[in-house]
Amino acid sequence: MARAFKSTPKGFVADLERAERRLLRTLFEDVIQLLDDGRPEPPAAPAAPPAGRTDATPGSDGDPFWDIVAGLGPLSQVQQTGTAADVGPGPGPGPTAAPYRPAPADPALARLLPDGVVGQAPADGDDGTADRAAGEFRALTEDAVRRAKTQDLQRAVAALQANPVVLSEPEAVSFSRALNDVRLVLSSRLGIETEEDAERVHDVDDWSDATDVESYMALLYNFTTWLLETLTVALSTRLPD
Amino acid sequence: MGAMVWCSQVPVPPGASPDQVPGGSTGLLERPDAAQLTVVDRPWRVIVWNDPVNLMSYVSYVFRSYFGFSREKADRLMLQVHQEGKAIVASGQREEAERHVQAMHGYGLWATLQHETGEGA
Repeated sequence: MARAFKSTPKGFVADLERAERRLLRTLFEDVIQLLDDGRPEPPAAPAAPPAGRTDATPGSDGDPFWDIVAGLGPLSQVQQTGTAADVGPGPGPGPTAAPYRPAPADPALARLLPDGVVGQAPADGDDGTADRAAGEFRALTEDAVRRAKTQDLQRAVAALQANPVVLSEPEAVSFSRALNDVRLVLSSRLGIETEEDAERVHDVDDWSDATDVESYMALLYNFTTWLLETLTVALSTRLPD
Repeated sequence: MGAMVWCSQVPVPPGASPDQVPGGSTGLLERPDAAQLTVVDRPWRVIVWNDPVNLMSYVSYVFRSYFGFSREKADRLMLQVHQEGKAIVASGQREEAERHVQAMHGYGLWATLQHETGEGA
């Protein structure tokens, strides 16, 4: 079993089994893929769905666990098909207006790349001002956030080559952001929207209970949550009070 | 990331004197006129919203490491997010506030930009 991250003189160190590192690598790569698939450019013809990975169900031939892990990316691709038109001026003023980009249609991607502006009060009305502002903000910032996340995730993948996992502080910060991004995607797939939802998922803690997609994903969520908690606590010890 | 004049209160206390603003003298890009800034000069707020996914320890860590808040202040703001649904973690010029919102998104926190006038201020 994995042993938690600790702050040591050599860096932030965790003991992870080969299977656990493989699991994390796959999750990180899934999120990289999700971010890449969700890019609004190029507005080219829709690509053919990747062969062999779209039917990741517990009933398929492989190990259902790995099907699910590997399926997080393609799950998003299925939902992406309808969003290829998410490029362009969008609603509102014509082409002379400020660049505008709508929110991703895939809720998991929208979780990774949330709106930066929201309606502030009912008095704000529904004249679309906030939506417009959100789209303009997104056009300005989304690509940079996507790049930063991809970089974090790639660093995290690279850090999992050997055991024990030893991270410098910058690597540990990237690793924590990458873990959190995985959690955000899983939470979206698990439908975690309230504290009660979170508790329901938290209660799934026995791998022998993993009998369906939902419980597998809940276990993955809890594993990454635990790992992030230990890394965050370790990182916090390096900060001044 | 230190160019912001941080406000720890919600909303920005209109009568706050500049020397009560934590971090006001520690900005990496400190400006000569920072001490003269008023609410009117820093009308953009950075709001962090609650969600059931982000860990309390993680949110507090982000506030401490990114904004340079003390543990006490970071915990207080984190709890405010958790219990009240949101907290204003910074206010300042538009570009700075935008940069902070973008950084929060990088950490996976849901932050938004809000203009003072949005609340009828």
